Amino acid sequence: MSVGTKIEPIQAPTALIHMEVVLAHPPLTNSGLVAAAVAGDRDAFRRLVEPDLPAAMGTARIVTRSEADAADAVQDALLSAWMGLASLRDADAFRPWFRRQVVRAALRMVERRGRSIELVADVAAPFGQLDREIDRRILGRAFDELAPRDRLLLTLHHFWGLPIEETAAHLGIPAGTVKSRLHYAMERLRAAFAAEERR
Amino acid sequence: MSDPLDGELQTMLDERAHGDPGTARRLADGIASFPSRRRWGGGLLGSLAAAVLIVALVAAVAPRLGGIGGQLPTPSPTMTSNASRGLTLPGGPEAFAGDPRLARCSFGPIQYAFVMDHARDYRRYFPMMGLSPELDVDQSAFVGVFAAGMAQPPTTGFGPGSTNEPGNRYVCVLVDGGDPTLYGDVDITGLTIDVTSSQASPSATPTENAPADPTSTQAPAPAWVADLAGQLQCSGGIANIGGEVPSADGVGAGSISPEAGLASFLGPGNPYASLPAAGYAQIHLDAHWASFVHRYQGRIKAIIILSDAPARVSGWHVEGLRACDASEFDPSVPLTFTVTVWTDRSGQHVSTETIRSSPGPEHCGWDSASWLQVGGNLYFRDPAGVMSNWTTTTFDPAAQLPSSAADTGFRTGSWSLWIDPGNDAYVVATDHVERWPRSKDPFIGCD
Repeated sequence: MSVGTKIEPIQAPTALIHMEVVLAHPPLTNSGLVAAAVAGDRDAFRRLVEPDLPAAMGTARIVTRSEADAADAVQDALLSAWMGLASLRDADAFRPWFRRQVVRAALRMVERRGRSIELVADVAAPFGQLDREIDRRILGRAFDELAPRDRLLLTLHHFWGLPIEETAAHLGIPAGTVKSRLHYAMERLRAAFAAEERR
Repeated sequence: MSDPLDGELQTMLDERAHGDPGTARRLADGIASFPSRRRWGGGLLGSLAAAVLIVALVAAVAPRLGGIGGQLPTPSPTMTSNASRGLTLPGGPEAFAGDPRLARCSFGPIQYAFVMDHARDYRRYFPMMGLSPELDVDQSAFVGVFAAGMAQPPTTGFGPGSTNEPGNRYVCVLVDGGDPTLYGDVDITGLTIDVTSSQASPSATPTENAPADPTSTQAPAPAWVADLAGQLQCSGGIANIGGEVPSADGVGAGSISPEAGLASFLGPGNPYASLPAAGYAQIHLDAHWASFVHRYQGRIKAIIILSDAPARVSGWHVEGLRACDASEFDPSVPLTFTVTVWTDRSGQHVSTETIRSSPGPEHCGWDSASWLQVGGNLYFRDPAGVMSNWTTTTFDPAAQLPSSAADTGFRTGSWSLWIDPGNDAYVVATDHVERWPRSKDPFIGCD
């Protein structure tokens, strides 16, 4: 089903309930889970989102730099997804759609807070890895100096591993723009990294 | 990856993403206590929910319907259950006789009218109402609950068949004297005005608190940041975008100066369609607040307030914004979002809430089509056929004007707009006629 087409009629929830009884792990398709969740089945919704929650939390942690803000952002995303699920027009598009909820919620949180909060406490590194640890911290500071949307862009592409096209879809910008912004973000990161090293 | 920085970046991000593994599980566990999803969504009803804010735009300029009706003689069963629990029910509209807010909500017979001290508390008044983030603001709000069985207001544009579930109501809300927003299919079970005001900006989850911001400052706001709407000199209504100071969140990540903050706000990614993208003059500035206006023919058509005072956003960011309709801006200045302003037969600009055309959403791949919104309908100029799933006919660049089509009087350039009622729109140019197919659904989206 292409983007923009209407969702198929919702399956009767009774059929899904019956499957729950028969099978410990009913082999519901993604569309089956979406249909069940649309019909109000919170467990189906949980099963739908659970595989993505660790990555969602990871992304939110990177973007917000706070465990509490990340949890709030993902909670907002979950609630938005739950309340807005019926507006999803293509059940197969659920995962990217949910990711977009996470991305937006994390960005909202950053814009609300307006600053980064250092999350990671000092970590003692073995002597042989000290240089590398220092480099990574410098890189981290350089990353923090990027604009929130550039941090998000890099996070989606490098942490979440989304291809260019999907990153573009998440951010609502053309793929060509993603490529150029990735290029410039990496250039800024490289420059900031070099400047940090000189300090 | 050939660039070593790529690998380092990925490792650094992986480390940063690492956190309490129990958080994801706790969030998943919390799903069990999510609120029931009422009819805010679901096939046609998804468009009903999506229509909420669009309705506000329509309602702002639509001719007001007939006067306020009387109360229904019998309260609904949900009201009875409230009474049995000792809660306080709101009164009828009589207490607001002469109040302009009541008149602005006159879409039908109002049964209950009251004021919420803080709009953000709306779910304390309406425990079963769906989530409405636009109400998550501190300002007070006037509320009118329409009588059961009220017909769908013709000005809403909800589309035929979008009726309420039995017992559910239409509800009108005016936040801080702004434009009315009409909510459809609201479950008013548990409606009460016996509420205790909440604290501002409650956290969505009871997670550990973020550290306090050591840079927090709260400079008193100057008088000129108040009543932004009152500072406008619009010929028509005020657009339903932005808000008064203080805003709930502020907009933007903050810049080093008011000018930079304004430029950043108006640049790519601007969240508000239909603002002048340039042509602003600073009229006030103090240590922490700045005011910019866009004037056309000497009259103030848009006003934007920036500040670096509130602690929740560092740097200069937009704290308040009010504007007239896009049809009143200087036509030589581009808008933040491309919108074509149409004129009437006499060449006068027509409000974009009456008629507007704009490119389709780019992120949906629909930007090759133009969307025309008029009379509660949506039409497409769609040479590439990207909207074909939504139409029953196709774009025809060399159409015959049917005899049933009528001239709307709306013009843009050399085009005149004709509409075949219930069918398609026709754009009559000097040398050809185009058929613009009508969308089966006036509210569509791909997101």
